[in-house]
Amino acid sequence: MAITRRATAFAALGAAAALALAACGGSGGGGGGSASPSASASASTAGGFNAAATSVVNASDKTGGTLKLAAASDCDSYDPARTYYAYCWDIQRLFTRTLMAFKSAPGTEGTAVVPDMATGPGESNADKTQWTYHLQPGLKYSDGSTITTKDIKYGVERLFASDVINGGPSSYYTSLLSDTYKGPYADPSGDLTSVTTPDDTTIVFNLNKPFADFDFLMALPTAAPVPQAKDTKADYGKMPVASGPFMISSFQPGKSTEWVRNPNWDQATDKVRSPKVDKVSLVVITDPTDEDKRLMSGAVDLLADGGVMPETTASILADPTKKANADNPPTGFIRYDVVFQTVAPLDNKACREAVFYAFNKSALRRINGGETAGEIATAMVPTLIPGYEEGYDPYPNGANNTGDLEKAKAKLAECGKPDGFDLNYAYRNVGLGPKALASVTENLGRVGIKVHGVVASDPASYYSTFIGSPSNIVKMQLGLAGAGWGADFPTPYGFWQSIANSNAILPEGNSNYPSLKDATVDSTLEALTKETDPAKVADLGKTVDHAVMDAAVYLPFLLDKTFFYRNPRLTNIYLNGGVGNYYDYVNIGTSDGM
Amino acid sequence: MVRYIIRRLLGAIAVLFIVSLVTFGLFMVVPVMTGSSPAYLYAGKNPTPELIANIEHGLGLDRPIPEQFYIYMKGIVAGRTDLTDGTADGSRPCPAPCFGYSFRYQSPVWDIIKDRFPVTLSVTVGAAIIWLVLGIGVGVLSALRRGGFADRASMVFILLFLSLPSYLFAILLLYVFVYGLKWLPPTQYVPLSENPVQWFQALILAWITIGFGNAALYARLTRANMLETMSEDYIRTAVAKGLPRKTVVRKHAMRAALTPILTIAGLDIAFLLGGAIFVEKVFSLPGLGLLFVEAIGKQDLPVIMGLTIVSSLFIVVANIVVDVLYSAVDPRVRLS
Repeated sequence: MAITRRATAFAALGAAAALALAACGGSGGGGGGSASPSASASASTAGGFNAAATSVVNASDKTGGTLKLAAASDCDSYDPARTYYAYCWDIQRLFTRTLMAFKSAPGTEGTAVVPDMATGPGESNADKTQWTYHLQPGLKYSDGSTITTKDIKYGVERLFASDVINGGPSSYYTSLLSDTYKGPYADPSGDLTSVTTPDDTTIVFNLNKPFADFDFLMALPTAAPVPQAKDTKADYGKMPVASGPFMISSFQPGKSTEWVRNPNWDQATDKVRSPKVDKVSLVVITDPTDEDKRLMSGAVDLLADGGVMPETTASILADPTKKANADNPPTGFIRYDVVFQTVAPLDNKACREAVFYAFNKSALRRINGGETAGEIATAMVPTLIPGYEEGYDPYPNGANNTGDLEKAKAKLAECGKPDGFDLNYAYRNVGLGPKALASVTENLGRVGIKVHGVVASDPASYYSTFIGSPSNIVKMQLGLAGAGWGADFPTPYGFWQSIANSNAILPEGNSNYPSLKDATVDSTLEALTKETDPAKVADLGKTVDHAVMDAAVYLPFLLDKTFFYRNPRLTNIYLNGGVGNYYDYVNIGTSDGM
Repeated sequence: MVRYIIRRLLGAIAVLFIVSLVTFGLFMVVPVMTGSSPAYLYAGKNPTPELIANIEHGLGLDRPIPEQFYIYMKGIVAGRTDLTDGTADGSRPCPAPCFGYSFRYQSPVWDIIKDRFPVTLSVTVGAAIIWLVLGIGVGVLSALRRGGFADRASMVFILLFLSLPSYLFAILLLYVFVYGLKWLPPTQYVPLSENPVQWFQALILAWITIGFGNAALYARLTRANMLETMSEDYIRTAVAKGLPRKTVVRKHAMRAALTPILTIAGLDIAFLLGGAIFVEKVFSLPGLGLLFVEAIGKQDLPVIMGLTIVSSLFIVVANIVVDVLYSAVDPRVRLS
């Protein structure tokens, strides 16, 4: 479930799950107007290592040229309702507008949601079950037709046709809006009565339970407008109707895509985007070495779907000129081992804590690529999500995070296993799985915990039915498993709900792998569905983190980072925390106008 | 001859049926037996049981397995109309040969294969010309100049390209000609009909990679066959009767020596048509090989199944064609 292109090769869905739309700061209610980066108060710099993580690099108003992107694999879909890859959500900003959007600003500032097509943030009732939005006037699709709130409603209705429109995070919307509606294809005469459009510029969402983060849901491409007359159902992703400043001019699946300017897009209606280039191209280059070579030679401007390979990283770091055009930001994705409390002797908390203290996080980071691959994680909340606490480390495990063996032995004695115990480690025989097994076997073996690898017979179903099935965990007597997580939207609720709430436990396809049932966690998440005050949201986020860490069921070890290189000719370039700290493609320009 | 071809065709159909059965079992039945469902691959995060049921229905996975297999085979032979994609009547036509619908590519599998095949065909034809001309040429020359400079030089050629891993050779070519000397632009496949020059530029390194590697093998085989044939009594007789050396070599020696090469070439070409996986990946050529890699990475079962069956078809057909041609080239072989 990594978001770098190396890992995505074998984890398409996992990477999709790792959307890593990292969060911080902004409230669900958003606030006021936003500004395009070139006109914003964001710091502007001429470059430098990591400069684009916190500032707009090479700010310029120069227009024209083509932004040339490359990716190791094509987008999962250009249908806004069906895409789930992080970088494809970023790509969607080129041609898809939504009621709300992530602010066009560097780093954490970009995790705030601001009005896009809407005139302002959602107006909610007291218990956050009703959300009303008003559309700006003068919004048009690329074909010249007017965008209305009926199109937004229809876009949401499509999400219910899950036998056709699947792959995206539809369940957020469907679970809040109806239990019975079958979607516009199976039930053409039906109506999603929980969403009303009193007029063409007003839309009201009546939720079946409170949801304070609703503005964030309205910022995801999943909630984009779709004109019913242009809905080609399963084929819609081949040529979606554009509402943003660009529109697809050619699309060859698995090969390339090109966008040109949408003549019917009006800058006056868009405070999120300030496009500079005339065209954007995306070419699929499947060989990572070739991809890096093209990037470094200037044949492409950016790798859209991830960072460069380790050998390229080393060569960039060794050259100060190149290093000045590189960034190494956090992605909002965290890697951890799940410690299954449903299997003895790990049902004893002290035994789980022994694992925590004996664990060698440094070794795991080395396996994942060293310092540029991420920061050692001491708690679960990623850097950009509200609730992250610098220095919070409830299980300090020794110098350099290599393990506190004395503490581990003490915990073993406390749990009645002074000589250690046997433990099954679930892994996939692909990617870093075998290396992780070897490392965990070695470092837990130092205190007598004997690790036995249990390989998932089908790597593809590792998350869904191997460690995603609570009954299988007990049946296979699994003790530990490698996993990772990134939030779909950057709020504490967005990060925690699926992996910690007891009401999210599923018989299969479960993401609350340890089957955590904690009253504090559940009640705090419930409170988060009604809270929009940023300070209180952050406090509640910390409460969940503390409670989860106290349960000792998730053993975090790495906060992922990606190593990017940007072509020096690019202007107005910055990493947007709202789109997983990828570069904000829609606002990038070129200094040479080429 | 006709009876032979009919018999072989019937055999081919049986082979393809077995391949389809095994492929279907491997990808559709085994996951079910291990407690998984292909529907999870399409469902995204945290799929509810209802969502999984919906997707299973869309894929037809809620039907009995024998019925699923029947529908799959019927689709290949006669097409299908039951693939759900949200069209007005809840189905979309999928004319034969229908290998199902790819939810990853959001397109019928056959359409994807048709779209990618010209790339693989381009790679195969160009590479085959190189390896056949170069390999047979070097092999014949080496045999006729046995022990001489040409023979020793060809031995170096053979050893070099047989021992040089093709992945290394491909990357080497890429570095030297694209990024070093910059004689070629970074690979971007363009159809022949669109721009022949760019088409050639995109493929030349792939042709060289496959062509030179195979040429070394073919040169070795050709040389060995030629040396053996040239020592046959009938060749000595032909020479003794005063036939010109050129005639002896071309009409008698080469014809016999190259017959086994024909068999191997047919199968190699057929194998390559199924997708030159490594070369297509290194040079980012969007052919069937790359599609196979992508489909595995994306766990796109319908595409993997379709490609497996199509690749098998190439091999089976090539076998028949080679056997028929074999009899034409070598009259000593009786089809009956």
